[in-house]
Parts: sequence; structure tokens; C-alpha cells
Amino acid sequence: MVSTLVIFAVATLALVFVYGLLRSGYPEIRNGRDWDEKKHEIDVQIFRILLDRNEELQLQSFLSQDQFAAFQRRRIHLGLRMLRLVDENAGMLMELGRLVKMKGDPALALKVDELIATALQLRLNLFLARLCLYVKWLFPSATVSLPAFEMRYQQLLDSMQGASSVAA
Amino acid sequence: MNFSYLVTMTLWVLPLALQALIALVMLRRKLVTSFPIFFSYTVLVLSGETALLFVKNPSNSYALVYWSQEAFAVLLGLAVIFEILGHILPPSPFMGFVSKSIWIFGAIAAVAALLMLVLTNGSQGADRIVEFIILAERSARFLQACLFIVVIALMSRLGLTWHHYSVGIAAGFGIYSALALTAFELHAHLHFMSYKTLALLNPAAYNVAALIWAFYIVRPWPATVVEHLPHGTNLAEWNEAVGGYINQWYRR
Repeated sequence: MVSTLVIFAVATLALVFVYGLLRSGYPEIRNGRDWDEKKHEIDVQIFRILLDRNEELQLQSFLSQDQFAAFQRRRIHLGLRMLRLVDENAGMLMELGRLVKMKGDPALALKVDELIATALQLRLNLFLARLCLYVKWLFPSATVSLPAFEMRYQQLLDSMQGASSVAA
Repeated sequence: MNFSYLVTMTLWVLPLALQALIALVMLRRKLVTSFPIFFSYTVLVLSGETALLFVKNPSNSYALVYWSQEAFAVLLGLAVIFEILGHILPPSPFMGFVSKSIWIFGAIAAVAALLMLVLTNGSQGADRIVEFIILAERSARFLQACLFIVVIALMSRLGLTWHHYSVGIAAGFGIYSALALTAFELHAHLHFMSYKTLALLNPAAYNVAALIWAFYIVRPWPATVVEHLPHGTNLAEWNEAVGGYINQWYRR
């Protein structure tokens, strides 16, 4: 019976994912002008300040718990909106990169691969950051920590940067 | 000629026509070098099924052609997953890590599929071998569906949907493996479905897949070449900022 449930769950999930894949789409980018028109101008510094832990601690010391929770949720909401826009920018750049790659210039193709790899890594990070923000939205005052895998993650980043510099 | 025979023949011949068209378009657009495994799969199914149209059924040669084609098709169907991965992930050490994770997930799914095969009791008697083969195919479809879930999730999540051909191939296989898996489970394990219904439902699912492949491969995808990348994209800066935020969450 368990195997039947697992099988039906897998089959349903596969169908749902296929439906999502066939429906998904990002803004159509056909040239550099489309990118100029459709890109979202977002300041990374605002994002940094918005989710800075020191700022958060400072706010927590000045505001009452309810006020802090409401304020923090507004900051998180804004942070999530910024992440959505960054996500869209990354998608448009990846699409633009594909069109540039079609030119057939090997040097340019290398740059495009680098751009796409950065965009993909950013999108994975955005996914994790969103999860963190959802948890934070649920428990705005709590300090939640995850087990430290950061060393492995940092090694991964270092290896990527090392490979990029070798390629350059 | 009764209605059931007509439906069976349509479900059999329609994907053959579609796959012949797919093979021709792939040859014409030089897609064979980009997707050699999918092309091999297409040619294998096309030639195998065409041969079956002319072989006497039931006979030993029919069974030989049918089951060997089925076995190779399952293997190529699994290999296509890694062909798609090679296309969608750019060459970088980070993506190598993602690809390795999918291999590990695949190994876990394969063990689960094997356990399912070993632990399921089929029927007794003369149909035992056929039942075992169907259960084995169910296990293979389970593995295929699991891997396609991961690949499709990756494509959707990372916005790799502009890889039109990869999207089409993955979606077709995803739908087919999900529907076939359900049909095999209903027939071989739960016995809710007769063999006659399974013999109709499985090709029907394959028809859906062939239609999706044909739509994505035969359809022309207009594309204009862009001369250069835009200046001042701050993806790396954003990557650093978002990564920095995630790092705040880890215990030191």
C-alpha cells in the first residue's frame, strides 16, 4: 500500500511539474533594447540595509514587540518583492545571453556561460533566501540559525571563482 | 473493422508518423549532434514499432522485437535525462555539484524502484513472467518519473525554459512516465485495470508525449542574434548580497 501511495504521489507530482514547465514563461527578450525597457532597476544597497541583522537588532531595541513584528514583516515583504524583481532580471539576462551566444563568437560564448552560471547560482541563492525570509516572516522576533554548512558552501564558491579566473 | 481496432491502430500509427517527422526535422536542423540520445530513442522506437506492424502476432519474433525494443527504449529514456542536464547546465564547477546531486538522487530512486520490484507480489501461474516484466517496467518508469521531477523542477526553478528543445523532450517524457507509471500500478499491482485497458492507456500516454515532442521540435523558434551582452549587469553583486544574507543564518 505504501508503494502504491508513493507511486501515485510521484506520478501526480510529475504531471504537476510538467504542467508548470509548459506554462512557465518569462518576459520575451529579443534584443538589447527589450532588456533596457524591461529590466528592473533595484539598488542592492537598499536590499543589504533592509535585511541587515544589526539594523534589525537596533529596531528591536527601540520598538515594542508588536510594533517590531509589524515593521519587520513590512521589511521582509519589501525584501521578497526585491528578490522577485532580481529573479526576473536574472531570467531576462539568461535569455539575452542565449541570443548573444547564437552569434557564434567563442570569446563571447565564454562570457555568456559565465553570466549564465552566475545567474543560476543567484537563482539558487534566491530560492534559499526566500525560504529564510518566509521563516522570518512567521517568526519575526525569533533568532533562528541553521546548522553550519557554510564552510562547504564557501569552498564551493571559491572553487567557482577559481575556475572563472582560470577561464579569464 | 470494429471501433476498438481502429482506436488501437490510430494510437499505434499516429506516434510513428510524428516520430518520423521529428527524426526528419532533427536531421534537417542538425539537432542530431545536440541530442544524439533522443534521436537514437526516436529512431529505435520508430524502427521497432514499424517492424512490429509487419511481424505476425503472437509469435516468438514478435515477442523478441517487442521486448528488446522496450528494454532499449527504457535505457535510452533514462539516458536522455542526463543528455538534457548536459544541455541546460552551463559548464562550471558549481553546476557539476548540482549534476552530482542529481546522480545521488537517481541512485536512491533506483534502489527504491528495485525494492518495489522485489517486494511486490504479482499474480501466480502462467501470467507470472508477463506480470514480472510489467512490474519491472513500472519500476523503470518510477525511476524515470523521479528523475524527470528533479530535472523539470530544476528547469522551472532556474528559469531554463528558453531551452525549447530540452523543455519539449523533458515534458514529453515526464508526462509519459507519469501516466505509464499510474497505468502499470493500476494493472500489475492493484489489478484495477484489465490488460486490454492497459494496452490502450499506455499508447495513449505515448501519443501525448509524441505530440509534445513534435510541437517543440518541429515548430520553428524565431530568434534574433544579439551582438553583445549589456553593460553593467550587477548579478555578481546581487549574488554576493543574497549569499551574504543566507550566511547570516548559519551558526558559527
